[in-house]
Amino acid sequence: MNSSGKLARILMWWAFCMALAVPQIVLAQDDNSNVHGMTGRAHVGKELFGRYCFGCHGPAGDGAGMEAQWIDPKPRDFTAAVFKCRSTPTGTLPTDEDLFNAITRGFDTTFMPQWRPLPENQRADLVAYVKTFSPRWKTEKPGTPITIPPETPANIESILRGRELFQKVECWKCHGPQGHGDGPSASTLTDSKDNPIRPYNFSTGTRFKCGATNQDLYRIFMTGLDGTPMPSFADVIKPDEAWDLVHFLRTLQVSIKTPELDVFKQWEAAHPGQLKPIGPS
Amino acid sequence: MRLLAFTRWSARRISHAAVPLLLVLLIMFLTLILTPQPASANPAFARKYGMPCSGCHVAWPLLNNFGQVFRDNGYQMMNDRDSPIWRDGSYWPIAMYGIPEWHRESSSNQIVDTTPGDGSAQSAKRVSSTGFDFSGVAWWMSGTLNKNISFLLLPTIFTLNANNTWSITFESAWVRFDNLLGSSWLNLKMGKHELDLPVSEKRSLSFSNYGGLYYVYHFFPVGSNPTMIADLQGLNSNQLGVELMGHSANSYTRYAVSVMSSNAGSFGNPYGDTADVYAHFQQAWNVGHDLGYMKASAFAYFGEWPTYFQSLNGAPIAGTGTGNKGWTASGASLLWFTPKVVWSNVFVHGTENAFLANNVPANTPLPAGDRTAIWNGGFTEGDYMYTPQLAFIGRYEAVRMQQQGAPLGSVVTNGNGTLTTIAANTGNLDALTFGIRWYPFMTTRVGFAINPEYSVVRSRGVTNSLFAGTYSSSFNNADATSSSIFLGLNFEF
Repeated sequence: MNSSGKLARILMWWAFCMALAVPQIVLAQDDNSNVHGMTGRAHVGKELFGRYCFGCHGPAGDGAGMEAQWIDPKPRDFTAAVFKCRSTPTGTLPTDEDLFNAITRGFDTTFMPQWRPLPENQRADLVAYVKTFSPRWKTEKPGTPITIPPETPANIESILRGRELFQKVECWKCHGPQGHGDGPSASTLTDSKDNPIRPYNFSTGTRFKCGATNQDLYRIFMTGLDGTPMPSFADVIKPDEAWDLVHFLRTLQVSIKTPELDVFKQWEAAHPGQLKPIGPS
Repeated sequence: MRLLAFTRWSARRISHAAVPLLLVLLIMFLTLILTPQPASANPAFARKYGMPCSGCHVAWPLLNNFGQVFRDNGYQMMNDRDSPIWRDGSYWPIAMYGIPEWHRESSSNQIVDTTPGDGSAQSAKRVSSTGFDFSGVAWWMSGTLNKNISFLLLPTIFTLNANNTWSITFESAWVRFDNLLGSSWLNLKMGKHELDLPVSEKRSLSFSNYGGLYYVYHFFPVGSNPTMIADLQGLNSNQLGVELMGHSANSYTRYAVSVMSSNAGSFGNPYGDTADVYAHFQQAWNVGHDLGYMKASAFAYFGEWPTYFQSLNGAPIAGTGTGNKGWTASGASLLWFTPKVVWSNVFVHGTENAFLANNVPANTPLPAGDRTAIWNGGFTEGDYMYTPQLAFIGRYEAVRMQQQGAPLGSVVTNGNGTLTTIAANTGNLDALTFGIRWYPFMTTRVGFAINPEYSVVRSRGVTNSLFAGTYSSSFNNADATSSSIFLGLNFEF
């Protein structure tokens, strides 16, 4: 056989092997998540977890990965099945979409990046695998997502009412009078695993941990961030009031020019000294 | 029967020197099977972001799409913690790597003195060398200077010659302004940078002498301008210039346009003052639930190179290159990233102006019959990831001359003064590489891989590989076959 023939044979065998390997047909099926019509499968998610997630969340999903000791805030412990970002009421399990959105969006100001570069089906597979770490998923169903009513107009009246609420429900105690995350209680806060935790600093953050829209912000304080000191205000404030609070919180985001901040600044310039400072009365 | 013949042929080729290597491979494989572990790259990035290598790499250094997005974002996760002010003061954005290795190189039809020490007569023989070696050290300094301003400085120390003289060069040195006007579609890089090739040679999983490169990125025909061959090295050369690059949020759609000085990335502008242009467009799409995604791309390079210089007493004056003539390399690629297999296919079509192809100064008449040289080449590579810690690598590559620059049967003078009689297939090459890349452990702090590899390349009508740029006389116009057997310990920290 001449050299060309040998090379051709090698190429043929290689192509044959590739043709066998490429399809990756998976026969075993274990449907464990359903996101946007996609079925996520835990056994596929396990492989992805072993590639992307184990360094922080740990092979056992307990948040004790090799990198965890250097990370602040600490990685989520999936064995506890307590999740910050949910569309469901406090104390309930999140929906598959909630977990999918959390993986996709990542967590701003933390080590959890956006996993948007992964194909959607792979993110759904990861959701399925994350749900295998806690028996809660076997015994409980996810909560029913809260209803978010249409947003009220973001005018100065709404912003001022929201400011009063910020004072009344004592958001300032953790988040600080200017939303800098430096309230009097800030240094004492711990999460559900007794790790120190800092309140959100509205003045520097460009996105919230659980989303960037007004609807996301509304959802955050109506569902609470489970596992953190941020409670749910669903039983404390009414939906219209919640929108007022959303509009005021937007005025605290001085690093990005929100429309609410513009409205508030114009009003403040026209009414100097009319507002009582936020803080202890 | 043919397969059996091939197996016997392979066994003879591998010979006695490979027996210890095979034993090592066997032990490695058994160790791997008996001690399975859960499944780093630029450890500086891994340390900064707490990610294992496998987060950004299919197998280090080959990027997966998450790594591609990270790179496209200017080494940023885009989580408001990218600026160095968020890192502890002890963090330093530097990683180092090196490869202690054992390798055996063998080339057939090399022109040597028939009697060693007696230069009166030469003949063609196989030349081999075997032993332990070290291929160099690189410092990988990269990261962000501020939010949306990234940098890379990559000094490389390498052996200059056999007398243990070491030299240092900067493979890359650039600053990039990321997400201009708040858009991921506008990123501007200036400095010495790698072209946005469809498959990066710098990120190849193979490292042996004859397998650690993509020949289509380096190829120039026999008889070409010698400085092009030795210095420019085609598409692969990192170049000095600017790059405008953009990408979608998931980097499924990407473009890059580079404008560079035609100086082969050499500092001090030693050649001419013209500019080269390179452009690349890539589009990806999901194939299916278990079939991953595909990337298709098209690219083109339009380059110029001087054919002569201003001179003093006959000696060329650096930086005065003139009589520029053009060369091009254009092509397309199709890459398929399945969960277990990355299948890369790249095709390149190259042309070289007749003056460059025949090394004729443009201020002299072109000899009759000299013409544009045209070639086609490509490779297909399959990388199978048994786990994120174990990759099997296979690649076949070919380059075929479509049209020689010199008339067939004519004798051309190479850069080193040797002669080659041009045939239709002179310079054609076929290359084959097989290898394994095994990461015995994987952390967010260091990287370590063991690389056994075999590679072979056959060049038609020459007696040395084209890549090396040191053509031996081809008075017998024989094919040269060169091979490497390689075992490297690739470490970084």
